[in-house]
Amino acid sequence: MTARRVLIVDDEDDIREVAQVSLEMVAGWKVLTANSGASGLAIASADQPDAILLDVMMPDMDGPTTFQKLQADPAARDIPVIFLTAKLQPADQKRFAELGVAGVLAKPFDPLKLAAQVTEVLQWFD
Amino acid sequence: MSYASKGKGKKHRGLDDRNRTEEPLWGSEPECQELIENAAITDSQRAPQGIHESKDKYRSLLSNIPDVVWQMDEKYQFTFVSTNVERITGYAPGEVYQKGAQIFFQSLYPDDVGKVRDGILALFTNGQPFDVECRAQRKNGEWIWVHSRASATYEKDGIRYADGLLSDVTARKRTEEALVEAEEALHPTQFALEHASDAVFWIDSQARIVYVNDAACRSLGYSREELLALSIPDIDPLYPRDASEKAWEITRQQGSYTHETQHRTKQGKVFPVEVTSNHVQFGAKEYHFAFARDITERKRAEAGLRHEKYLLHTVMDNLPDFIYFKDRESHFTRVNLALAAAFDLNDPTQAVGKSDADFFPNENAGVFFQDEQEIIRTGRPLVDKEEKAVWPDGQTRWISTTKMPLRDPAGEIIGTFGVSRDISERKRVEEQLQTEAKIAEIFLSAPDDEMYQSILDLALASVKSPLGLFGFIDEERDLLVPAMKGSAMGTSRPVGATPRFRREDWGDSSWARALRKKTPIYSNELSLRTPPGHVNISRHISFPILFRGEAIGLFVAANKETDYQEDDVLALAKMAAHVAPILSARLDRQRAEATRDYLASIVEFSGEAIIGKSLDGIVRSWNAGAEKLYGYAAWEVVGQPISLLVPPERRDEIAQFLTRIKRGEEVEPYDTVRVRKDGRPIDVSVTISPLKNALGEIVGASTVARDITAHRELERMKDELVSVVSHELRTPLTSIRGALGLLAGGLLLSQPEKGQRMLEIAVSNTDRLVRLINDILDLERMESGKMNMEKQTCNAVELMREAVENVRGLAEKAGVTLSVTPCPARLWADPDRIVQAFINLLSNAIKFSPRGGTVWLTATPQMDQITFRVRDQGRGIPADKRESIFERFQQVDASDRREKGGTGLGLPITRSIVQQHGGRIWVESTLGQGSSFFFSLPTLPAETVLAGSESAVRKILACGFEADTFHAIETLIVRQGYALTSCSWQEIVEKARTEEPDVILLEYSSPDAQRGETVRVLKETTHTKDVPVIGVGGVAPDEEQLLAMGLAAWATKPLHEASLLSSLKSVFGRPGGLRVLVIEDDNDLARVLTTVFERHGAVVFHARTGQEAVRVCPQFFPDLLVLDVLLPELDGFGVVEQIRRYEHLKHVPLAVYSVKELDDGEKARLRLGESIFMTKSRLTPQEFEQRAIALLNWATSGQRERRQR
Repeated sequence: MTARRVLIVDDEDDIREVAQVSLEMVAGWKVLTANSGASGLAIASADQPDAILLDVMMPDMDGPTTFQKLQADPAARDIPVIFLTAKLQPADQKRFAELGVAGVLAKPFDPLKLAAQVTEVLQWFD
Repeated sequence: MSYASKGKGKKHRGLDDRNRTEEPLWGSEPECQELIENAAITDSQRAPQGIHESKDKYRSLLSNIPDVVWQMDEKYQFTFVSTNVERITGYAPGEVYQKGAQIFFQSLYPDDVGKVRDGILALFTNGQPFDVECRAQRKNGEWIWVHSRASATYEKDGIRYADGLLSDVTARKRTEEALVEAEEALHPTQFALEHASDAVFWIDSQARIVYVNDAACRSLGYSREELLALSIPDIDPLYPRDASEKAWEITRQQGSYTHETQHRTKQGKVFPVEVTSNHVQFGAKEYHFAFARDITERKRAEAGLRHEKYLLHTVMDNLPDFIYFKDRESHFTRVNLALAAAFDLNDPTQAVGKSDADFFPNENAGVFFQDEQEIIRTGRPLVDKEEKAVWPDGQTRWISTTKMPLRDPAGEIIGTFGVSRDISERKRVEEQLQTEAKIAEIFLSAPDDEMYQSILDLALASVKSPLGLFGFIDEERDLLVPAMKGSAMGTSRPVGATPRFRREDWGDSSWARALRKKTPIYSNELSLRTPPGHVNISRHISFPILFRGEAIGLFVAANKETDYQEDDVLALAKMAAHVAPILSARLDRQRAEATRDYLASIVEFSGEAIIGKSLDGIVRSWNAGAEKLYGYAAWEVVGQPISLLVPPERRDEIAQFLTRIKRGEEVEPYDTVRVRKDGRPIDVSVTISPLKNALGEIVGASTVARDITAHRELERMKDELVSVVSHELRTPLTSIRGALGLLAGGLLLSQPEKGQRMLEIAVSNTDRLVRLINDILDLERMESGKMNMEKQTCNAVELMREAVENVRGLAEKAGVTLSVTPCPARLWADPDRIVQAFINLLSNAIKFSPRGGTVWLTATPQMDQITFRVRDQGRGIPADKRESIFERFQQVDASDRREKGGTGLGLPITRSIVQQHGGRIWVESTLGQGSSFFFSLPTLPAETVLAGSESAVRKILACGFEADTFHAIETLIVRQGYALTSCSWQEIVEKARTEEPDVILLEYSSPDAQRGETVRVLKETTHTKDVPVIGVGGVAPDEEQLLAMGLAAWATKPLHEASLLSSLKSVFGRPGGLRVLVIEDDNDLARVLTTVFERHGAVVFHARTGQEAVRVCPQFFPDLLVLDVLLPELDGFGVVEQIRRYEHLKHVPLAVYSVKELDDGEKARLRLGESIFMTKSRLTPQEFEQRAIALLNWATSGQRERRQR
């Protein structure tokens, strides 16, 4: 498992913190965080993470909007985006797939397996 | 003596010449002897000598010769004539003896008289043989030829006699006239025998034939020679060979023997004969001198007669008809078996000699006798007379009688005979048919009122009664009486309405018992139950009209002049039997019509679109619901194909549906899309069922279509809510799971501070999850109306104070100042929930206030409500969020959740609490400066208080009760909004003055001498004399006693809510007038309703909001609630829910109207007592008024019924 730099975008502080600890402690990855879509866009563009874990339900700019803006940004366009979401209705899943994200991971997640799940998705994406 | 034949010589056919003799035929014995002897010579050797043992024997013998033998004296008197003279001449021997020869001369043909007289003269004077053929007239007037002859005279005892023969020669004269003369020249004896018309045989003891005459030869077809060679067995197949000796023996003893046997001709033909054998003996030799007569004709006649007798017997004995013969005095001479049986006789002969009077009542027998005498007098028969008689067995039977004169052969009427047939059954059937036809005609042709009256007239006529009624049982099992007869009964009938006797009011009158027991009841006693003014009922009979085991109607007849008896029961039974099937069919038809109209109106006014179509898909019917749903009027669509409504891409559905319908299948609710007239597609759910005609054939389909657009929207919202809620629940779970997962994985062991942090995250998110779940459940319960609001009278000040205390800690922590301005107001509310609403708003305000800021809580009273305000100095709420923040999980900023720890449900819950109390909530805000949340609640204003009391709460002073009873009263009525104070007997007068109670309750269950005095004092004191006093105790006194006791009402112990409240109601409620509570926020509509109800004498209270209604209702004691579903503050569902909590209101009739159609679940939630539901949009103002009046009547009758209960 190669060391990666991952950006976590989530408006829930606790979730962001747990996910960050998980990826750092379990996989030894470098984790960047953002508490909104807007700041996520900026960090992604500036720091070029290997992957972005993006929450869907966020005020102001939700996950899908953030994703579309990332796609529109040449600097961030190629970064694989994985939705990490509690929106798990079939209709939501269908919508996400149509957006063209690299993958969707469910909340709540197992902090011990989160890194492995991200790696698996990225392998598929690669 | 010689005998000279006058005739010419004739070929002899019998005795040969040798046997000829000149001797007279008879006369002296020797002469006879000679004759026989000579005759016997015919067969030569065996002729006996002494054949004349007795003169009588000869005479007897001669009597058997067909020719008449006579003897005459010289004075022309017949001294002997054989009895067969009568056969030829018609005159009996007696007549001949009496008249002598005169009889001949008188009857002779005039031309022949001379020669006969001359012949006889010559015989006696000259001894010339007399032999004359002449014409003579029989006694009956017929002319015949007779041949009379006598050969000589002889003298005896000095008188001369002549012997002669007389025979009827008419036939010969007519056919062989020419031959006669010649052939008569024979020996007289032989002549006699030869010419005898019977066969004559002379038989010896060996049964050999020794002589036969011509007739014998003719009859047997043999020649004389052939016969003389035969013996009797050759010609008589029955001749008793073995027993011949016996025959001889009989003849020896008796002289002659007559028997019937048979003779066989030469040709083999056998015929019956009667043979008379005479025994003659010549010396030792015995002969039979036998005459045989062909009796074929007689046998045939006898057989015919026997057969006819047999037939007659058969007829008489087997015909069920009554047959009888009577003499001229109408006595029975013969009756048949059937009549004997009807007379209860064992043997028909027992009737002989009796008359009808022995069997029938006089009035019947008299008529029969008259009829018969008339027949005898006139000879005219009586044909098919139908008459009724009471028979010996007591039965009344109808008979059809034909009687004829009975004549003897001479034509004289000697009596009568008759045939009668029992036609009772036919008569019964005829009468029944007539009655049935009459009743059917009445039912068919007469208008309703006349019909019942006509049937009643028939029924009363059948039991000869002047009074009565005819009623039927309707579908509510009451008795309706459309027809009455009798002056008093008639005037007691309300004009224009059919009197209805409710089953529960029937009591145990005899007609009611007759109906219940399904059996007729009659009484001949004077009725003691007759209402005043009613004509006396001296006797009456009640007959229930039964059909298939059920009583469907009633006949009552009364005041017959004689006693009612079983006959009257039978008569009414007959009527009832005729009436029952027709009445039943008629009632069924009326019910079917009513049901059909009812169903038709259900279809027409159903909120669903109901469409009828034929099997080829053509619209046949179209109700108002369809018009509303699709936008087409009926006239636009009926006759058009149903595909008009179907979008092109779904046209296949129709054919598919119709195929299934034709197979008799139903199309279950099926969601699809249809097109409105305006082209708009609509989501509908359709159910299609086959329509069948009366024969059960499928002739079309009915489609019920429902607009499911709203339903679809609701589904979508529900899905979204589930999605949102699940997301909200997963969010804290994600943090908890993640934190615990990291800890459990042991990765943080080396970094305890990080581990501690993870535990904190888990704990805080768990708290959040619990809050969230509680809020979600609260909100759900509140919105579905399942949360119980424990409403009571509250003071606004106390509620505000309690809420502020609750958040004081939070405010201090946040460095926020709380400023409260309380305002006194009475609220009808659940205090816990109102405090919760305050806390939600206050804590929000504190959270969003900057440190050092202030949060204000103020209240402003208005007319009938109070408005609370929670104001902060926070950042404010953008305008576009001011509505949505009251929705679930719609915080202005997601980060608020993190920072403020909210669940996103506080405001929705607050709003729900306020709405449940009939209030309203809203927000005003200026960005950057702060927000103000307002909510208003209805108060208990003075103007809604009833009966002029100053206070909203009625005050009750309870006096003299023990603690337990007082507590029971408290439990029962404080809940209903009454204020209760207790006092002792000693205190009461003072308390009544100071407390100013609305009513005083006095304990009456234990004896107390002070009580009467206490009440008297209360009633005499200015302050208290108008305060009603209610007694509480055991058995209730009657109205008069109550009045005497100075009491306004009574509540019976043990106390129940209902009895206590009804006594309170009787005190507070204004007398008379139906009380209607109209709950309607539309003032115009409310005014219409109020006007309508008031015009009909009702007391109306108009509640503008649900809250107001809930508040007023317990003390208004409404008889009818009229409820709009959509109301501000508290909607109809809320109102009903609140009202259900009051025992005395649970069963109040309720009329609900709503803008939209209510489903069954909604109706169930809205039901109180008897409840009806109406849809507003379907009613024109006129219809509304009509409905309102109907409702009023309905509630009035309901009220009456409830009172009865």
